[in-house]
Amino acid sequence: MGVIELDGLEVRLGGRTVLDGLTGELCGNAIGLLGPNGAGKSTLINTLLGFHEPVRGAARVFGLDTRRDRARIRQGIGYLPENDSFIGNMSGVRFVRFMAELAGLPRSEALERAHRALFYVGLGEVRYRKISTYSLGMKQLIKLAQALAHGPRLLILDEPTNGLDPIARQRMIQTIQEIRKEGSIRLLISSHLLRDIDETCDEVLILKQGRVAALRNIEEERRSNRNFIEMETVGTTTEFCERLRALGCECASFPDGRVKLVMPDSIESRDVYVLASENNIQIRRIHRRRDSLEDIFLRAMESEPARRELVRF
Amino acid sequence: MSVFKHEYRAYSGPVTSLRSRIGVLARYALAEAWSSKITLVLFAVSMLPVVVYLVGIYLANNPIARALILHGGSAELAINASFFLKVLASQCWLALVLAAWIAPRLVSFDLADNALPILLSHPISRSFNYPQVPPRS
Repeated sequence: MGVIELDGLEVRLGGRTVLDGLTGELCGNAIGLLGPNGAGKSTLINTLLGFHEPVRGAARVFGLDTRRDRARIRQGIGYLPENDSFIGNMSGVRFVRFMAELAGLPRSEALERAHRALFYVGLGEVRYRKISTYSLGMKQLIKLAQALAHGPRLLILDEPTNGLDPIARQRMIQTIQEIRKEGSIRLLISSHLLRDIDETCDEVLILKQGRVAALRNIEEERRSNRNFIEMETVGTTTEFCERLRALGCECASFPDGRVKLVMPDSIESRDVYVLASENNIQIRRIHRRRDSLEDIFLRAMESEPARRELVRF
Repeated sequence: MSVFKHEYRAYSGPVTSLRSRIGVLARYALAEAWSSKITLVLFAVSMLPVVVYLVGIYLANNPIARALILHGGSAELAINASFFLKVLASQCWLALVLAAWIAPRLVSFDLADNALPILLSHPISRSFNYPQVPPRS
Protein backbone atom coordinates (compact mmCIF):
# COMPACT_ATOMS: atom_id res chain seq x y z
CA MET A 1 0.00 0.00 0.00
CA GLY A 2 1.34 3.40 -0.99
CA VAL A 3 1.44 6.42 1.28
CA ILE A 4 -0.77 8.39 -1.11
CA GLU A 5 -2.88 6.92 -3.88
CA LEU A 6 -4.49 9.15 -6.47
CA ASP A 7 -7.15 7.67 -8.69
CA GLY A 8 -8.27 10.05 -11.44
CA LEU A 9 -8.46 12.87 -8.87
CA GLU A 10 -10.24 15.93 -10.20
CA VAL A 11 -10.79 19.05 -8.09
CA ARG A 12 -12.60 22.19 -9.23
CA LEU A 13 -12.39 25.52 -7.44
CA GLY A 14 -14.40 28.54 -8.47
CA GLY A 15 -15.52 26.80 -11.66
CA ARG A 16 -11.92 26.10 -12.73
CA THR A 17 -10.37 22.64 -12.85
CA VAL A 18 -7.31 22.88 -10.61
CA LEU A 19 -6.44 19.17 -10.43
CA ASP A 20 -7.23 17.31 -13.61
CA GLY A 21 -7.32 13.54 -13.35
CA LEU A 22 -4.28 12.90 -11.16
CA THR A 23 -3.44 9.23 -11.03
CA GLY A 24 -0.49 7.64 -9.31
CA GLU A 25 0.84 5.87 -6.25
CA LEU A 26 3.39 7.59 -4.03
CA CYS A 27 5.40 5.16 -1.94
CA GLY A 28 8.61 6.97 -1.00
CA ASN A 29 9.74 7.84 2.52
CA ALA A 30 10.08 11.47 1.50
CA ILE A 31 7.98 12.57 -1.44
CA GLY A 32 8.67 15.88 -3.13
CA LEU A 33 5.85 17.82 -4.74
CA LEU A 34 7.21 20.09 -7.44
CA GLY A 35 5.67 22.38 -9.97
CA PRO A 36 5.48 25.99 -11.05
CA ASN A 37 3.12 28.42 -9.31
CA GLY A 38 -0.49 27.45 -9.94
CA ALA A 39 0.34 23.84 -10.82
CA GLY A 40 -1.94 22.56 -8.04
CA LYS A 41 0.53 21.59 -5.29
CA SER A 42 -1.27 23.32 -2.43
CA THR A 43 -4.66 22.24 -3.77
CA LEU A 44 -3.50 18.62 -3.73
CA ILE A 45 -2.37 19.02 -0.12
CA ASN A 46 -5.66 20.66 0.85
CA THR A 47 -7.53 17.83 -0.84
CA LEU A 48 -5.52 15.24 1.09
CA LEU A 49 -6.41 17.10 4.30
CA GLY A 50 -10.09 17.07 3.33
CA PHE A 51 -10.42 20.83 2.77
CA HIS A 52 -11.50 20.34 -0.85
CA GLU A 53 -13.87 17.66 -2.06
CA PRO A 54 -12.94 15.89 -5.31
CA VAL A 55 -15.44 16.29 -8.14
CA ARG A 56 -14.31 12.99 -9.64
CA GLY A 57 -11.92 10.26 -8.67
CA ALA A 58 -10.47 9.68 -5.23
CA ALA A 59 -7.42 10.27 -3.10
CA ARG A 60 -6.33 7.92 -0.35
CA VAL A 61 -3.81 8.43 2.43
CA PHE A 62 -2.54 5.15 3.93
CA GLY A 63 -5.55 3.52 2.25
CA LEU A 64 -8.06 5.90 3.90
CA ASP A 65 -10.40 7.81 1.62
CA THR A 66 -10.17 11.61 1.91
CA ARG A 67 -13.96 11.92 1.67
CA ARG A 68 -15.05 9.29 4.18
CA ASP A 69 -12.16 9.06 6.63
CA ARG A 70 -11.27 12.72 7.03
CA ALA A 71 -10.90 12.64 10.82
CA ARG A 72 -8.78 9.46 10.79
CA ILE A 73 -6.53 10.89 8.09
CA ARG A 74 -6.06 14.13 10.02
CA GLN A 75 -5.30 12.11 13.13
CA GLY A 76 -2.23 10.71 11.41
CA ILE A 77 -1.09 13.85 9.62
CA GLY A 78 1.10 16.71 10.76
CA TYR A 79 0.65 19.80 8.60
CA LEU A 80 2.95 22.78 8.18
CA PRO A 81 1.05 25.39 6.14
CA GLU A 82 2.77 27.60 3.60
CA ASN A 83 1.72 30.94 5.13
CA ASP A 84 1.81 32.23 8.68
CA SER A 85 -0.64 30.18 10.71
CA PHE A 86 -0.49 30.30 14.50
CA ILE A 87 -1.97 32.12 17.48
CA GLY A 88 0.44 34.97 18.12
CA ASN A 89 -0.94 35.74 21.57
CA MET A 90 0.07 32.31 22.91
CA SER A 91 3.47 31.21 24.14
CA GLY A 92 5.25 28.62 22.00
CA VAL A 93 4.74 25.75 24.42
CA ARG A 94 1.07 26.59 25.02
CA PHE A 95 0.37 26.73 21.28
CA VAL A 96 2.07 23.38 20.57
CA ARG A 97 0.30 21.81 23.56
CA PHE A 98 -3.04 23.16 22.31
CA MET A 99 -2.45 21.65 18.86
CA ALA A 100 -1.36 18.33 20.37
CA GLU A 101 -4.52 18.20 22.50
CA LEU A 102 -6.62 18.96 19.43
CA ALA A 103 -4.90 16.04 17.70
CA GLY A 104 -6.08 13.78 20.52
CA LEU A 105 -3.28 13.65 23.08
CA PRO A 106 -4.27 13.69 26.77
CA ARG A 107 -3.36 16.92 28.62
CA SER A 108 -0.25 15.72 30.44
CA GLU A 109 1.06 13.85 27.38
CA ALA A 110 0.40 16.89 25.19
CA LEU A 111 2.43 19.11 27.52
CA GLU A 112 5.34 16.67 27.63
CA ARG A 113 5.32 16.17 23.85
CA ALA A 114 5.10 19.94 23.29
CA HIS A 115 8.29 20.49 25.30
CA ARG A 116 10.00 17.62 23.47
CA ALA A 117 8.94 18.88 20.02
CA LEU A 118 10.11 22.41 20.79
CA PHE A 119 13.52 21.21 21.95
CA TYR A 120 13.72 18.92 18.93
CA VAL A 121 13.23 21.74 16.42
CA GLY A 122 15.55 24.03 18.39
CA LEU A 123 13.05 26.37 20.07
CA GLY A 124 13.57 25.03 23.59
CA GLU A 125 15.04 28.25 24.93
CA VAL A 126 12.28 30.49 23.60
CA ARG A 127 9.31 28.24 24.28
CA TYR A 128 7.77 30.56 26.90
CA ARG A 129 7.89 33.63 24.66
CA LYS A 130 4.79 34.77 22.77
CA ILE A 131 4.82 33.55 19.17
CA SER A 132 4.16 37.06 17.88
CA THR A 133 7.68 38.00 19.06
CA TYR A 134 9.34 35.17 17.09
CA SER A 135 11.41 35.76 13.94
CA LEU A 136 10.22 34.34 10.60
CA GLY A 137 12.52 31.33 10.94
CA MET A 138 11.22 30.64 14.46
CA LYS A 139 7.64 30.85 13.21
CA GLN A 140 8.41 28.19 10.59
CA LEU A 141 9.95 26.03 13.32
CA ILE A 142 6.99 26.44 15.69
CA LYS A 143 4.72 25.28 12.86
CA LEU A 144 7.00 22.28 12.41
CA ALA A 145 6.93 21.59 16.17
CA GLN A 146 3.12 21.57 16.29
CA ALA A 147 3.05 19.27 13.25
CA LEU A 148 5.38 16.81 15.02
CA ALA A 149 4.03 16.99 18.57
CA HIS A 150 1.26 14.40 18.23
CA GLY A 151 3.49 11.85 16.46
CA PRO A 152 1.99 11.82 12.97
CA ARG A 153 2.54 9.05 10.41
CA LEU A 154 2.68 11.53 7.55
CA LEU A 155 4.18 14.99 7.75
CA ILE A 156 2.98 17.43 5.09
CA LEU A 157 5.28 20.41 4.67
CA ASP A 158 4.03 23.14 2.35
CA GLU A 159 7.00 25.32 1.32
CA PRO A 160 8.92 24.72 4.58
CA THR A 161 11.82 27.02 3.65
CA ASN A 162 9.60 29.86 2.48
CA GLY A 163 11.15 33.22 3.39
CA LEU A 164 14.03 31.75 5.40
CA ASP A 165 17.57 33.13 5.29
CA PRO A 166 20.33 30.68 4.22
CA ILE A 167 21.22 29.67 7.80
CA ALA A 168 17.60 29.13 8.84
CA ARG A 169 16.97 27.26 5.58
CA GLN A 170 19.92 24.95 6.23
CA ARG A 171 18.65 24.30 9.74
CA MET A 172 15.18 23.46 8.44
CA ILE A 173 16.63 21.13 5.78
CA GLN A 174 18.78 19.37 8.40
CA THR A 175 15.75 18.88 10.65
CA ILE A 176 13.76 17.42 7.76
CA GLN A 177 16.65 15.10 6.89
CA GLU A 178 16.82 13.93 10.53
CA ILE A 179 13.08 13.23 10.57
CA ARG A 180 13.44 11.27 7.35
CA LYS A 181 16.38 9.31 8.75
CA GLU A 182 14.46 8.49 11.93
CA GLY A 183 12.10 6.53 9.72
CA SER A 184 8.76 6.50 11.57
CA ILE A 185 7.31 9.45 9.64
CA ARG A 186 6.68 9.68 5.91
CA LEU A 187 7.16 13.12 4.41
CA LEU A 188 5.32 15.01 1.69
CA ILE A 189 7.20 18.21 0.91
CA SER A 190 5.79 20.78 -1.46
CA SER A 191 8.22 23.33 -2.85
CA HIS A 192 9.11 25.22 -5.95
CA LEU A 193 12.78 25.13 -4.92
CA LEU A 194 14.44 22.18 -6.64
CA ARG A 195 17.36 22.25 -4.23
CA ASP A 196 15.14 21.68 -1.20
CA ILE A 197 13.49 18.67 -2.81
CA ASP A 198 16.84 17.37 -4.08
CA GLU A 199 18.32 17.46 -0.57
CA THR A 200 15.41 15.93 1.30
CA CYS A 201 13.35 13.63 -0.95
CA ASP A 202 13.76 10.23 -2.54
CA GLU A 203 10.72 10.47 -4.81
CA VAL A 204 9.28 13.41 -6.71
CA LEU A 205 5.86 14.14 -8.16
CA ILE A 206 5.98 16.98 -10.67
CA LEU A 207 2.72 18.75 -11.44
CA LYS A 208 2.01 20.97 -14.41
CA GLN A 209 -1.32 22.67 -15.03
CA GLY A 210 -3.02 20.37 -12.54
CA ARG A 211 -1.75 17.20 -14.18
CA VAL A 212 1.03 14.74 -13.44
CA ALA A 213 4.06 15.77 -15.49
CA ALA A 214 6.40 13.21 -13.95
CA LEU A 215 6.65 10.82 -11.04
CA ARG A 216 10.23 9.72 -10.49
CA ASN A 217 12.36 8.02 -7.92
CA ILE A 218 15.24 10.45 -7.46
CA GLU A 219 17.51 7.84 -5.91
CA GLU A 220 17.04 5.48 -8.86
CA GLU A 221 17.60 8.31 -11.33
CA ARG A 222 20.84 9.13 -9.58
CA ARG A 223 21.95 5.51 -9.52
CA SER A 224 21.16 4.95 -13.18
CA ASN A 225 24.27 6.95 -14.20
CA ARG A 226 22.83 8.02 -17.48
CA ASN A 227 25.10 9.35 -20.19
CA PHE A 228 24.44 12.97 -19.49
CA ILE A 229 26.19 15.78 -21.34
CA GLU A 230 26.08 19.51 -20.79
CA MET A 231 27.37 21.83 -23.53
CA GLU A 232 27.92 25.54 -23.87
CA THR A 233 27.33 26.55 -27.46
CA VAL A 234 27.24 29.57 -29.74
CA GLY A 235 24.63 29.70 -32.51
CA THR A 236 20.94 28.87 -32.91
CA THR A 237 20.35 25.58 -31.15
CA THR A 238 16.71 24.91 -32.11
CA GLU A 239 17.41 22.80 -35.20
CA PHE A 240 20.46 21.23 -33.58
CA CYS A 241 18.28 20.01 -30.71
CA GLU A 242 15.61 18.72 -33.04
CA ARG A 243 18.18 16.67 -34.94
CA LEU A 244 19.60 15.34 -31.67
CA ARG A 245 16.09 14.26 -30.65
CA ALA A 246 15.67 12.59 -34.02
CA LEU A 247 18.78 10.57 -33.21
CA GLY A 248 17.14 9.39 -29.98
CA CYS A 249 18.66 11.84 -27.48
CA GLU A 250 16.66 13.56 -24.76
CA CYS A 251 17.55 17.19 -25.18
CA ALA A 252 16.83 20.50 -23.43
CA SER A 253 18.12 23.85 -24.64
CA PHE A 254 18.39 27.13 -22.72
CA PRO A 255 18.40 30.75 -23.93
CA ASP A 256 22.01 31.31 -22.84
CA GLY A 257 23.24 28.66 -25.30
CA ARG A 258 23.45 25.80 -22.83
CA VAL A 259 22.29 22.45 -24.16
CA LYS A 260 21.72 19.43 -21.94
CA LEU A 261 21.25 16.01 -23.45
CA VAL A 262 20.99 12.39 -22.40
CA MET A 263 22.58 10.15 -25.01
CA PRO A 264 21.45 6.59 -25.60
CA ASP A 265 24.20 3.94 -25.83
CA SER A 266 23.83 3.74 -29.63
CA ILE A 267 25.02 7.34 -30.07
CA GLU A 268 28.67 8.34 -29.82
CA SER A 269 30.12 11.72 -28.94
CA ARG A 270 31.41 12.05 -32.50
CA ASP A 271 27.83 12.13 -33.79
CA VAL A 272 27.13 15.17 -31.66
CA TYR A 273 30.18 16.99 -33.02
CA VAL A 274 29.13 16.16 -36.60
CA LEU A 275 25.61 17.45 -36.01
CA ALA A 276 26.96 20.62 -34.43
CA SER A 277 29.21 21.21 -37.40
CA GLU A 278 26.35 20.66 -39.87
CA ASN A 279 24.20 23.21 -37.98
CA ASN A 280 26.96 25.81 -37.62
CA ILE A 281 27.03 25.41 -33.85
CA GLN A 282 30.25 26.15 -32.01
CA ILE A 283 30.73 23.96 -28.97
CA ARG A 284 32.74 26.05 -26.51
CA ARG A 285 32.60 23.72 -23.56
CA ILE A 286 31.38 20.18 -22.96
CA HIS A 287 31.28 18.03 -19.88
CA ARG A 288 29.62 14.87 -18.72
CA ARG A 289 27.71 14.86 -15.47
CA ARG A 290 25.04 12.96 -13.61
CA ASP A 291 21.35 13.61 -14.15
CA SER A 292 20.06 16.18 -11.67
CA LEU A 293 16.59 16.97 -10.38
CA GLU A 294 16.74 20.17 -12.41
CA ASP A 295 16.99 18.12 -15.60
CA ILE A 296 14.12 15.85 -14.55
CA PHE A 297 12.06 18.94 -13.82
CA LEU A 298 12.92 20.69 -17.08
CA ARG A 299 12.11 17.62 -19.14
CA ALA A 300 8.82 17.29 -17.31
CA MET A 301 8.01 20.93 -18.00
CA GLU A 302 8.75 20.50 -21.71
CA SER A 303 6.67 17.35 -22.11
CA GLU A 304 2.88 17.23 -22.31
CA PRO A 305 1.48 16.35 -18.88
CA ALA A 306 -0.17 12.95 -18.55
CA ARG A 307 -3.85 12.60 -17.69
CA ARG A 308 -5.42 9.50 -16.23
CA GLU A 309 -2.28 7.46 -16.76
CA LEU A 310 -1.14 5.20 -13.98
CA VAL A 311 2.35 6.09 -12.86
CA ARG A 312 3.74 3.63 -10.37
CA PHE A 313 6.96 2.50 -8.76
CA MET B 1 20.69 25.77 22.71
CA SER B 2 20.40 22.66 24.80
CA VAL B 3 23.58 20.80 25.71
CA PHE B 4 22.43 17.42 24.46
CA LYS B 5 20.81 16.35 21.22
CA HIS B 6 17.09 15.75 21.28
CA GLU B 7 15.74 12.96 19.14
CA TYR B 8 12.27 12.59 17.74
CA ARG B 9 10.16 9.81 19.21
CA ALA B 10 6.91 8.58 17.72
CA TYR B 11 3.80 8.65 19.97
CA SER B 12 2.04 5.38 20.65
CA GLY B 13 -0.02 6.23 23.75
CA PRO B 14 -3.80 6.62 24.13
CA VAL B 15 -5.76 9.31 22.30
CA THR B 16 -8.87 11.15 23.44
CA SER B 17 -12.26 10.82 21.74
CA LEU B 18 -13.30 13.13 18.90
CA ARG B 19 -16.06 14.69 21.05
CA SER B 20 -13.72 15.66 23.85
CA ARG B 21 -11.68 17.78 21.42
CA ILE B 22 -14.52 20.27 21.19
CA GLY B 23 -14.02 20.61 24.95
CA VAL B 24 -10.35 21.41 24.31
CA LEU B 25 -11.40 24.34 22.12
CA ALA B 26 -13.84 25.57 24.79
CA ARG B 27 -11.25 25.19 27.58
CA TYR B 28 -8.60 27.19 25.72
CA ALA B 29 -11.19 29.81 24.72
CA LEU B 30 -12.24 30.29 28.34
CA ALA B 31 -8.64 30.49 29.48
CA GLU B 32 -8.03 33.12 26.81
CA ALA B 33 -11.10 35.10 27.93
CA TRP B 34 -10.06 35.08 31.61
CA SER B 35 -6.46 36.02 30.81
CA SER B 36 -7.54 39.64 30.40
CA LYS B 37 -7.81 41.85 33.51
CA ILE B 38 -10.55 43.87 31.85
CA THR B 39 -12.65 40.68 31.67
CA LEU B 40 -12.17 40.18 35.41
CA VAL B 41 -13.12 43.79 36.16
CA LEU B 42 -16.21 43.61 33.94
CA PHE B 43 -17.25 40.34 35.54
CA ALA B 44 -16.85 41.85 39.02
CA VAL B 45 -18.84 44.93 37.99
CA SER B 46 -21.62 42.73 36.61
CA MET B 47 -21.87 41.08 40.05
CA LEU B 48 -22.42 44.40 41.88
CA PRO B 49 -26.07 44.94 40.82
CA VAL B 50 -26.88 41.40 41.90
CA VAL B 51 -25.48 42.11 45.36
CA VAL B 52 -27.47 45.35 45.56
CA TYR B 53 -30.69 43.60 44.51
CA LEU B 54 -30.07 40.77 47.01
CA VAL B 55 -29.66 43.32 49.81
CA GLY B 56 -32.90 44.91 48.63
CA ILE B 57 -34.76 41.59 48.80
CA TYR B 58 -33.32 40.96 52.26
CA LEU B 59 -34.41 44.35 53.54
CA ALA B 60 -37.85 43.99 52.02
CA ASN B 61 -38.39 40.69 53.79
CA ASN B 62 -36.76 41.39 57.15
CA PRO B 63 -38.92 43.64 59.41
CA ILE B 64 -36.12 44.27 61.91
CA ALA B 65 -33.64 45.35 59.28
CA ARG B 66 -36.32 47.43 57.61
CA ALA B 67 -37.20 49.14 60.91
CA LEU B 68 -33.54 49.86 61.64
CA ILE B 69 -32.41 51.01 58.22
CA LEU B 70 -35.54 52.31 56.50
CA HIS B 71 -37.39 53.32 59.69
CA GLY B 72 -40.41 51.23 58.70
CA GLY B 73 -40.85 52.66 55.21
CA SER B 74 -40.74 50.06 52.44
CA ALA B 75 -42.57 51.68 49.56
CA GLU B 76 -39.37 51.83 47.43
CA LEU B 77 -38.63 48.20 48.08
CA ALA B 78 -41.63 46.41 46.70
CA ILE B 79 -40.48 42.96 45.51
CA ASN B 80 -42.75 42.44 42.57
CA ALA B 81 -42.64 41.83 38.80
CA SER B 82 -41.35 45.34 38.16
CA PHE B 83 -38.43 44.74 40.55
CA PHE B 84 -37.39 41.55 38.78
CA LEU B 85 -37.77 43.23 35.37
CA LYS B 86 -35.27 45.84 36.53
CA VAL B 87 -32.93 43.03 37.70
CA LEU B 88 -33.22 41.29 34.35
CA ALA B 89 -32.74 44.48 32.31
CA SER B 90 -29.59 45.47 34.18
CA GLN B 91 -28.19 41.94 33.87
CA CYS B 92 -28.90 41.92 30.15
CA TRP B 93 -27.00 45.17 29.60
CA LEU B 94 -24.04 43.92 31.61
CA ALA B 95 -24.08 40.57 29.76
CA LEU B 96 -24.07 42.47 26.47
CA VAL B 97 -21.02 44.51 27.51
CA LEU B 98 -19.24 41.37 28.74
CA ALA B 99 -19.97 39.45 25.54
CA ALA B 100 -18.98 42.44 23.40
CA TRP B 101 -15.63 42.47 25.17
CA ILE B 102 -14.93 38.71 25.24
CA ALA B 103 -16.32 37.42 21.93
CA PRO B 104 -14.12 39.41 19.51
CA ARG B 105 -11.02 38.43 21.49
CA LEU B 106 -11.81 34.75 20.97
CA VAL B 107 -11.73 35.01 17.19
CA SER B 108 -9.52 38.04 16.53
CA PHE B 109 -6.28 36.33 17.61
CA ASP B 110 -7.09 33.35 15.37
CA LEU B 111 -7.92 35.57 12.42
CA ALA B 112 -5.01 37.97 12.92
CA ASP B 113 -2.44 35.22 12.46
CA ASN B 114 -4.46 33.06 10.06
CA ALA B 115 -4.74 30.19 12.54
CA LEU B 116 -7.72 28.54 10.88
CA PRO B 117 -5.82 26.27 8.42
CA ILE B 118 -3.69 24.87 11.22
CA LEU B 119 -6.67 24.46 13.57
CA LEU B 120 -8.82 22.79 10.94
CA SER B 121 -6.06 20.42 9.87
CA HIS B 122 -6.60 18.66 13.20
CA PRO B 123 -9.25 15.99 13.67
CA ILE B 124 -11.86 18.07 15.47
CA SER B 125 -15.12 17.41 13.66
CA ARG B 126 -16.53 17.38 10.15
CA SER B 127 -18.71 20.36 11.03
CA PHE B 128 -15.58 22.49 11.40
CA ASN B 129 -14.50 22.01 7.78
CA TYR B 130 -14.10 24.76 5.25
CA PRO B 131 -17.17 25.41 3.09
CA GLN B 132 -17.16 22.82 0.34
CA VAL B 133 -17.46 23.52 -3.36
CA PRO B 134 -20.56 21.65 -4.56
CA PRO B 135 -19.66 18.84 -7.00
CA ARG B 136 -20.67 19.39 -10.59
CA SER B 137 -22.12 16.63 -12.65
